[in-house]
Amino acid sequence: MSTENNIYEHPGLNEIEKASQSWLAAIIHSSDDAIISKTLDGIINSWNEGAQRIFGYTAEEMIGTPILRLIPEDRQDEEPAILERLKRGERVDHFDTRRVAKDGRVLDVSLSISPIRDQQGCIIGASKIARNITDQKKAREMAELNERLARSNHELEQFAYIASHDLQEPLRKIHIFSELLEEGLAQEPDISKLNGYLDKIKSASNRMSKLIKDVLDYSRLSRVDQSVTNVDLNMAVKDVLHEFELAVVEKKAVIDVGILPVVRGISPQFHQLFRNLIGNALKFSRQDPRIQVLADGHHIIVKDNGIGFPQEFAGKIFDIFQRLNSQDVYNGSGIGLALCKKIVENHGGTIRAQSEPGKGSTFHIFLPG
Amino acid sequence: MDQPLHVLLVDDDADDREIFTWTLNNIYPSAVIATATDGEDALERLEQWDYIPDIIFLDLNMPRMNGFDFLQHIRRRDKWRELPVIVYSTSSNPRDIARSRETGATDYIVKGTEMATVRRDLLQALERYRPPLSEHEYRK
Repeated sequence: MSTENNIYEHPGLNEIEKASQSWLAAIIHSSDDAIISKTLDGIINSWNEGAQRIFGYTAEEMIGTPILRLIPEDRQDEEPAILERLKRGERVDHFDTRRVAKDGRVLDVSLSISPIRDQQGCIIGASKIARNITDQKKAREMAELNERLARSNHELEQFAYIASHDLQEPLRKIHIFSELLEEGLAQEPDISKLNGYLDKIKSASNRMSKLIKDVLDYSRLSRVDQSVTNVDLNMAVKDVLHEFELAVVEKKAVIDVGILPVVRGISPQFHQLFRNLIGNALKFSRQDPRIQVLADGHHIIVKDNGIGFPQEFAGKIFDIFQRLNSQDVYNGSGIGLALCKKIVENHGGTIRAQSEPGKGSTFHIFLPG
Repeated sequence: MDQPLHVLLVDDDADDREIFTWTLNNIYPSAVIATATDGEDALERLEQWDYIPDIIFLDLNMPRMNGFDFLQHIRRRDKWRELPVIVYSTSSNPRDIARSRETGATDYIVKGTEMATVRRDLLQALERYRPPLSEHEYRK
């Protein structure tokens, strides 16, 4: 009986501690992450196998030497900043940076560093866990690149569509009405009819130049060489309204502009954005047009009381060449809202539309604060 | 007695309606040409009439109801299931052509860029898809 009791006796506290310490040592030893400790002067005093696998140095090579060895030239000032924080007792969590391996490769790593205290609670050093995220980062970059490629492919397709469709339309009319004109001139010329053909030719070529201009504007939005500045949207709207002065008077439109924010962005693009939205509001208006441009922080609202559109088209209208209204009544290239969407997305924001036929449309633009 | 040829053209573009009507009148002076400005307008007309047109020419990119949606609507109805519907569009995009066939178009014609082509295309489509014409209706 007594023998059995001995076997099942609880081990002493000391032994639990010993066992747990050996477990800890095993964990540190077999961890995939680099687990390193250093003094407050930045001298390495422990170096696990994970650290050897990631950085290529053995413990013998590293212990007693400064951690600065691992830090690339251009990031050497990171270490004093990290040490300062540690001395204040702060942790550094998931700090994504770069370190250099023994063979000179620059690795993307994520660091978590916490102070080590002695039994009196004084900070005597730091433990550091470094995870090699080079592959993850590469994968992320690849995914981003892929997404950019897919977007640019989609845009290319849209351009092909322009070439195959929307540019063909005016070209075809120019050709055919010239033929009709020619035929008319040779036979009995009914001057008013011939003039009509001529007008159609002129209006088709106008449509074509507008379309080419819009397509160019749209494609220029992809360029990244435009400078980012503080853009006062109040000024942008004021400038645009100035351009529309004539149309506003002609249509007897009432336009209210609230106080708009100043945002970081590409100034000419914001002009384009408001030119399109306000231009549309004027174009698709009915009697007594009323247009409001308001803001609630970085949420900008452009609202009109025009013809509106069925809400189910709210997503489609931002596609290039989605024409909701008859070409007979409202002339448009079908690029304007696609342009708006791209501008807002260029600035990290979103745009959406809300409408009901006959009840006006509201465009909501959300820009990052 | 021969019935005159009944054609319905569905197109939102006034110029294209004019070109089409002008050309068809030249080929078949006796043809009765009705026009609709979009799919919804065309459906309303079809419902009102007590006859079925001999052939429909259909644009694709139109407001309210586009050509694809119009095709889907009429192919669901027994009385219009066999009605020849020729898509008549500016687009030469293979996706538009494939989608038209899938939604029940009888044929697909890309709008011609010359009067001679427009004339030839309309003539061919009518010869192929409409009920036989009597001789006197031709004026070539």
